[in-house]
Amino acid sequence: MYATLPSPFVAKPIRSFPQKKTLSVRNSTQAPSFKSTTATANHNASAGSLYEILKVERSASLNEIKTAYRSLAKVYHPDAMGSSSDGRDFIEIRNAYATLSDPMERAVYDMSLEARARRVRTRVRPTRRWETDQCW
Amino acid sequence: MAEPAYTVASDSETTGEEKSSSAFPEIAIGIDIGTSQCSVAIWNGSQVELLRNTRNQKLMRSYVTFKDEIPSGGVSYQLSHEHEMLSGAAIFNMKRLIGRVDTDPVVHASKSLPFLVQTLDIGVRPFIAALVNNIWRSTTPEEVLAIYLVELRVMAESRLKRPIRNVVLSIPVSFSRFQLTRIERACAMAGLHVLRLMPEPTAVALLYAQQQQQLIHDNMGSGSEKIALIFNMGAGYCDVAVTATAGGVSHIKALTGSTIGGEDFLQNMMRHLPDYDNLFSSRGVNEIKSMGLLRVATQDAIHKLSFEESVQIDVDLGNGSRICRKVNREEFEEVNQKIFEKCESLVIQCLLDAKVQADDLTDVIVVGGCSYIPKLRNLVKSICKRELYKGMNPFEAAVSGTALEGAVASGISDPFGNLDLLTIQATPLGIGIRANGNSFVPIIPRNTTMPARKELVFTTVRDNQTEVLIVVYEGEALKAEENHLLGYFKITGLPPAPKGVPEINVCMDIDASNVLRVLAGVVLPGSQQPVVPVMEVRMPTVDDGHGWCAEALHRAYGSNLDLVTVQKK
Repeated sequence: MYATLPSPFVAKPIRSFPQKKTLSVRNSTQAPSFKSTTATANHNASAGSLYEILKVERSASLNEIKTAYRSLAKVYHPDAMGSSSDGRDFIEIRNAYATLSDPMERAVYDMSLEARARRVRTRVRPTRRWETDQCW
Repeated sequence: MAEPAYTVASDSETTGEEKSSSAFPEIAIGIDIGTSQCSVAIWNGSQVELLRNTRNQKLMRSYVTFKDEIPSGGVSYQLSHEHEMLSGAAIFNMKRLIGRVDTDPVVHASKSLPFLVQTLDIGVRPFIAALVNNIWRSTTPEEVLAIYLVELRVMAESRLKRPIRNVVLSIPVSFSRFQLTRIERACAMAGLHVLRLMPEPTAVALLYAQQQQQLIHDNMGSGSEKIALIFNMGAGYCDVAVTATAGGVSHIKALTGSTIGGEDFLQNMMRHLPDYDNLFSSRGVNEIKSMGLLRVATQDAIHKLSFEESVQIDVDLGNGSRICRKVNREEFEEVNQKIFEKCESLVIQCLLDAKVQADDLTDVIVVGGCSYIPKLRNLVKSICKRELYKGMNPFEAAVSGTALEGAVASGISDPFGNLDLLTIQATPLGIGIRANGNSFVPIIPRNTTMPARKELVFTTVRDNQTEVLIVVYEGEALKAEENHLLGYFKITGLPPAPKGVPEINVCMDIDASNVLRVLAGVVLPGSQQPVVPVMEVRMPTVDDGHGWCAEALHRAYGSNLDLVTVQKK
């Protein structure tokens, strides 16, 4: 059982890197941490927004977000029946939910999404990805 | 009926047997190991059923007596009288003692129990013994619990007519991970495989989730999200949880608990009676007997005070002295003022942690052995501004929840959707490491949804520091050593660099089975590869003598291998 556990140091979506608040200035201006090279495979997969992760519209109500979270939990939670998920998906879903279910954090996130969209339009440069764990 | 014989494996035998790979899903039974009473329940295909012992009891006293050659517990053994449990030959309250060191105040408070709890106050496990024929026979809480679990297992096997292996146990919220390993050890000694250890109020929350689903099924409830506060107080522990429930998913928003319970009410009340200290200054056989008589009389009085304003305690202590006194409810509440205040603060804290206002609550559930105490009911009611939920048996709620979890975790489905349930658990205690001098720096804060993975970056405190010590603690205290030590390891081979340059990334990972792994790696600026292999350690690694370990580490290394958090920006 232990052997089959996913190692977060091997396969980890880039989103969950603590690229921001918990690190010093130095860190946020350079390559995040020693795991980044191993995680590039997930780069594209994790580029979607939190709304895409929860499979809801940008305009979704809080109730819709909660409902979406619960129905996804029933599929991706490691305890859920017949699930082949390794738990990583659920953490991603949980993180997305944690941000979008809090009106303040959701507003901040929405702003960052817009800012990101603008930056992408003007110049092509890797953007910082939102770290949901660290936003409070 | 001839019952198969079972023996308890040695305490030194290792735990962690792998689950047997049977082709048929075996429904795990749910066990509620209470400080005072135990019960067993199972999903019988259509509903939760509590199993009864040969004396037709659903709730069995938690004790093991060493009076006879083969120890026997409250599942099978018939006490000739309540006092027999208090003769010194029986060990009880093991849930209060398991996994605690002899410096723990809870262990010290247990010294007034009729059996021997001896402490050396050096941070090792206490010495526990039962009095048999004027000999103190030593045992351990794990052994006592294992003997009891074997009886429960035999009872369940004879009722269900099949072997039992998988179990879901309810545990107090405040149990440390080390205590959980002791519970697992006891189960392994009894030949049981632990599928889940469920904090008690989360088991109640799962039952609540199922009841709400049932209401929708019967077209009596709405599908909207319901937020419930669960207050569970038994003989040993008081736990509070806030859950958000809809569609059979119970999402635990916050958990908090403390080692207070009916046992404290009882001890405070006994101390309040005149001449208590004089009577029990020594611990001979006669004093133990007197203490037992007084204990039974006081407990009886406390029970009655839930329904009457005053009661008369009149007990002949058998040594020529007699305690005869009227006590009223007001007195009981005054003597236990501190406990009630603690309960109040737990409820308030839990609501705060869950970011829930009293007005947001749909239901307030009070369960456990203390749930009839009027003062407790009133204080929960007044904080939550709600009448209490009536749909649960306060003594059976937790075990029913574990039975539901047992069925769900065994992969059983129900054609009517009654098992279409899920608990999303949260971590009851923070987990972190010692850093910034002697501070506890949580990496996974309490009430983090599980499974969880979080990381923090630390750095060295000295120039050319080539080693760092990662000391992992669990708890809420600001000072590292006031928390539970879970384990420690060293990262060596850091390349020489000025202090503050190497980045030491500490990641903690808790999977859905509540297995904790700590991973630590080092990178230097400009490089993306770890400079030394990443360490991955499954915790807890500390087995015993927690107090000693931390002190010895400090003596040996001082602050030479220290860490600091990287300055937050």
